[in-house]
Amino acid sequence: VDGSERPLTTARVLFFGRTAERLGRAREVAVPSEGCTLGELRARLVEADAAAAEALGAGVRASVDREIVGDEAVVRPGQEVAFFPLFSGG
Amino acid sequence: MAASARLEPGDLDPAAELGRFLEGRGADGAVVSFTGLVRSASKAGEPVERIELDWYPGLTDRSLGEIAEDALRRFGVSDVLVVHRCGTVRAGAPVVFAAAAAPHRRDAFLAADYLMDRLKTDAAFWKREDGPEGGRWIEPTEEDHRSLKRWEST
Repeated sequence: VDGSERPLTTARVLFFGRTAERLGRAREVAVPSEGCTLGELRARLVEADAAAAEALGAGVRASVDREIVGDEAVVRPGQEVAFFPLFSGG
Repeated sequence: MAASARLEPGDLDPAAELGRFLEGRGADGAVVSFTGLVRSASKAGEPVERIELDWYPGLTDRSLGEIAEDALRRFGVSDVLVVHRCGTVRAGAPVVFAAAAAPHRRDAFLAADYLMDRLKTDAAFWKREDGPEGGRWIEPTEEDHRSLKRWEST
């Protein structure tokens, strides 16, 4: 790292239920040091992987550090993001 | 008074759970418990050999705790217990145990009924039914939502 670029680190992204079946359990995704919105992170995943477009479509909710949030929420490096379908209940 | 809830990755033993829950109950006149088993057929009649309950540590256990706390707050009960399996559960095996203790039976019945209606819709699980034809991911049914609505006016 020569210091001329903004440092990029990662957020851990987890998937559950049907979403995990399509995308695997966990990925590390680069996040700018000042953070980005959950919506931007979602777009980044979709851009990188055609399977993600469908798997993260309508009805798939998300959490940041285990709090369920909307696409406007900010994700910072080191945080844990999860994407999952509606709960099935027990 | 306590609400307790836990995720059980191993076997669930309803008789042992009930035995422990019954201990030391001087002031309570009633304990109602419910055991849910994995059915060997889906709603559509397809064979089910096992279910897979995917869960998110930290989020799923919190959802169980909140449901138990709500039952404790809502009814005249002394203690509430929820034990829920996670992971792979074969057909015929217990998947959930819910119990409520109260001075009077009506409150215990109501709390146990409420616990199960909440768990069937609000518990943070992702459930897949696996059979010889493959797996099917499940969502709460209309009936589950109707069952939950019963509690809105009480």
